[in-house]
Amino acid sequence: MKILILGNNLAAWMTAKALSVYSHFEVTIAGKKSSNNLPAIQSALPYFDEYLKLAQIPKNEFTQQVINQPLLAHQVMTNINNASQQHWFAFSEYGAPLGPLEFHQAFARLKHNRWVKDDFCNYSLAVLQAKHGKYQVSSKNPNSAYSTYVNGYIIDTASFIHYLQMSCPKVKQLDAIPPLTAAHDLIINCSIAPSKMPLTANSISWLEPSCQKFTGQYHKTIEMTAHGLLSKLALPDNKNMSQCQLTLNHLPDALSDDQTAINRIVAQYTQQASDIRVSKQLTPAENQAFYRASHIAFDVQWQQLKSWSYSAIDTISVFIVNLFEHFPRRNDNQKLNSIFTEHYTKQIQSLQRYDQLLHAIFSKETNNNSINLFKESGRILQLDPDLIKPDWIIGLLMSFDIIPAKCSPYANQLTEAQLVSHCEKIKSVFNQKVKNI
Amino acid sequence: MQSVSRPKLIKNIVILGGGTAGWMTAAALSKALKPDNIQIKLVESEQIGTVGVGEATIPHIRTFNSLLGISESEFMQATEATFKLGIQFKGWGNKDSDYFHPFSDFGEAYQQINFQNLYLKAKQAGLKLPFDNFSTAIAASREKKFCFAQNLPPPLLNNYSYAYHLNATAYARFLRQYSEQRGVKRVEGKVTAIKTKLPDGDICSLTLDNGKTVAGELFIDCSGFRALLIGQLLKSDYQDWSHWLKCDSAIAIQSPLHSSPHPYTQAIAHQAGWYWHIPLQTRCGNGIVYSSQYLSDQQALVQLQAKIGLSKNARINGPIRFRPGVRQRAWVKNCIAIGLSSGFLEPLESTSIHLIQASIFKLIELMPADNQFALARAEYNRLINYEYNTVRDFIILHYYLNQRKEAFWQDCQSIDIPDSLKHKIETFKLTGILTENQQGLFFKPSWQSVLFGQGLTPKQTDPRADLMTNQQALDFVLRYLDKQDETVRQMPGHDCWLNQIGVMRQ
Repeated sequence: MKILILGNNLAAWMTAKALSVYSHFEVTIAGKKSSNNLPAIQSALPYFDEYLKLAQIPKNEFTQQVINQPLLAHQVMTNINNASQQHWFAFSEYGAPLGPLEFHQAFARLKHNRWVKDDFCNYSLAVLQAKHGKYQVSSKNPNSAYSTYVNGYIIDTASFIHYLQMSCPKVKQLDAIPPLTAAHDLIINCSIAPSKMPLTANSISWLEPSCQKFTGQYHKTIEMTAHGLLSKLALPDNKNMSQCQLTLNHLPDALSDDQTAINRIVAQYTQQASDIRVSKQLTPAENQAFYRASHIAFDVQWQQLKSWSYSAIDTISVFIVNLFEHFPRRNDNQKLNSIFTEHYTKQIQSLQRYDQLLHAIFSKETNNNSINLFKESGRILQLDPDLIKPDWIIGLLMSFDIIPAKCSPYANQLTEAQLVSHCEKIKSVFNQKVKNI
Repeated sequence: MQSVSRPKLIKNIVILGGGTAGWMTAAALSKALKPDNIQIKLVESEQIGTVGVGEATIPHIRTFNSLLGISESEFMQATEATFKLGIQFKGWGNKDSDYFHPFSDFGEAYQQINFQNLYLKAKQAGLKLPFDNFSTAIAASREKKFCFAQNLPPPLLNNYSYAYHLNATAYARFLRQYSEQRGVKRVEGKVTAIKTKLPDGDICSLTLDNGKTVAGELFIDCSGFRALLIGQLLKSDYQDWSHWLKCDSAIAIQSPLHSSPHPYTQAIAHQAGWYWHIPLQTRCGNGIVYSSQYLSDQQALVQLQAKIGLSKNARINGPIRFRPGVRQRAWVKNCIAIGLSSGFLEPLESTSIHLIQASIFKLIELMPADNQFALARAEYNRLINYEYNTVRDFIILHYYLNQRKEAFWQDCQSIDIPDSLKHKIETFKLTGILTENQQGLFFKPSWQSVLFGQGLTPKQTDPRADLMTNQQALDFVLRYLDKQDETVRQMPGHDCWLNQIGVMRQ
């Protein structure tokens, strides 16, 4: 089967690598090398493991060949009423349940009655590790405390592309796009040009020198600024540079093409910025991956969607996993289009919901269903599909002191002393574990 | 809409009805809630019988039992339970068709290529075996064999799960004992009046025929098809699905067990519905499900008696009438319907107990502390509707995809099925792809078993499967079959296993 991938970019190479598992596929990548305006360093959610599995990339090979490190947690820094605060949350469970009583409900009761002064995040083994700059691979044994978390990744984009190119030597490369004839059974277009719809400037990204203490940490920092959320990622091997991304609340269109104005904004955060880029994109509601009669389309804009929580690598992974689940024999298989787009869009929407949660917290939105249900019942909306686990969302909400307004009936039937003892036991076990790493 | 009353802590939960749903709910709540904090009362009347024919289960019941901390052997002895590896469907595609829906995967994948594709390629190389030959659970069922998968030596296959056949009345009795030991108060009596309060219209108490009043802040309606609270009082709309599911009646008869019990349920199609056959340790549960439009009650009874070779003196339960469908809202005001009062599709695929269990789990998750629960209620209703809808499509599939000639079956072929199901069938037919959600009851292997079993073969395979030639695929599936045969060869007989683990009633 002959497969032509249009666009010599990260999405194209990630797709080619996954396809190269099947030796009977003749894969060609066509197009001039394009960075796709991608940041030098990107984070990836734990979902990236699905891609690694699909592309049959062993984790140890990925660790050795690609500049990367595990991402355990997020650290959000706020400055409210001149008091600076840190909010930590991770890809993890928190504490341990007591029968039908979930840990966050037990914690909420103690918090209501001022029995705990501790932060909820200190009951996550992943957060504790991240705070101490330590990392232990998570365990698959459900009885192990190390099974309570998973990790995402911090990835050097160039190194990842280089690895992909080196590890699939059979993929042919063409600089120019060949005439789209029947010579190929399947065409996957990873370089669809931005559509004519109006684009809005969404983020500014740049590189800046890393401060010593930040380099080599297992977390992403996010700061609430006047312009929006500023997230920072660093890798120890990345020439001591941090990738910064400012997800803008609003940037007038007139300013988005004015480099001087952009530089002025960046200068408010650093004097040593390099590689400053502005990303524009469509509104998230647009479908930007679909099967067409002539090709499978994966819009460049969609690959560049900027968020504090997910990256191009995440949207590309979702695209590829869905492509493989709905693998067409030819481009004219319209039957698969609706299933593919439905699944793909729902999964991307689940990432967006997670992303919007932090914005909703900052903007004190009153009509956010997830927050309201959590406040009323301590439950997280169960939507299908959801790539973000309920525990991760609970961790995010609780880190901002959004706690269930009422005590769970299961919490009410235990004494406060019992709940405190349970919390202390967990804390002691987790602290010991971190000490031993 | 947010309740307008002031927050009031829930201190009393009242369950109306003591069948399987009532006692399952009571047992689960009594495990989760301590009686000195929240008191649970269950109102039932000895004068009102229970339907009690849901005797086949699916593997999820094991999660429920483990939530309660019930020992499997104690439970099996108390309920005369046997093991169940799946369901045999006879005569559902055409009159001669015979396939299984197992609690297992089919075959094994190669390089992440789903087994179905390798099977289809092997067929092109001359394989004649049906798809359901490639399941350990089915192969063991046909040989009347069983053991726990984890008891098999490591090189053998352990890719199957199991459920039980049980005496539903005994299960309710078992759960009653469990619940009462944990502080649930059983109140005898028939409801004669229901008191609601202003301004919100919440139920505040039930008055019984013996003059007792049972008050509470939260009411669980397990009153069966009568739906005393959710239907008669609160008028929650019932979505009628009888245009999709034509069977509306059932008759049940018990019969002696003549040979060792097989580890599977049988669902055998007849001219206007189907028969069930469920072997317990000492007897069989039998029944006929039919559409009263196509078969009279008398004809159905005669047919069932002839089918199982029973005299007219056998105790008959039925005809039981039902209207397939679901309440649009299972939770209205402070009343939650669980079991038949919240909806019923039909006995096929043994989903009744599962839907009870799913409702209980959602309730435990969303259990409110006080009477301010508007969002939790909305979430509960959304989740339960989702659960019913996914089960609905799967059940309709069995009827729609038949090739029988009788009027009932011909009419089933021509029903205008839900769009979600139409889309699923068409996509499978053209591409072999089955879409799957993260939640819901029936996953890919369940759909594959019915689709293949009732004669639908996809036109295409996944292009990734072309990694193998047809001959290589044939060799691959035959190698799998050898492994499966070896696995089943080493499994003990189902009856031997029941004796070996000490659950067989003497």
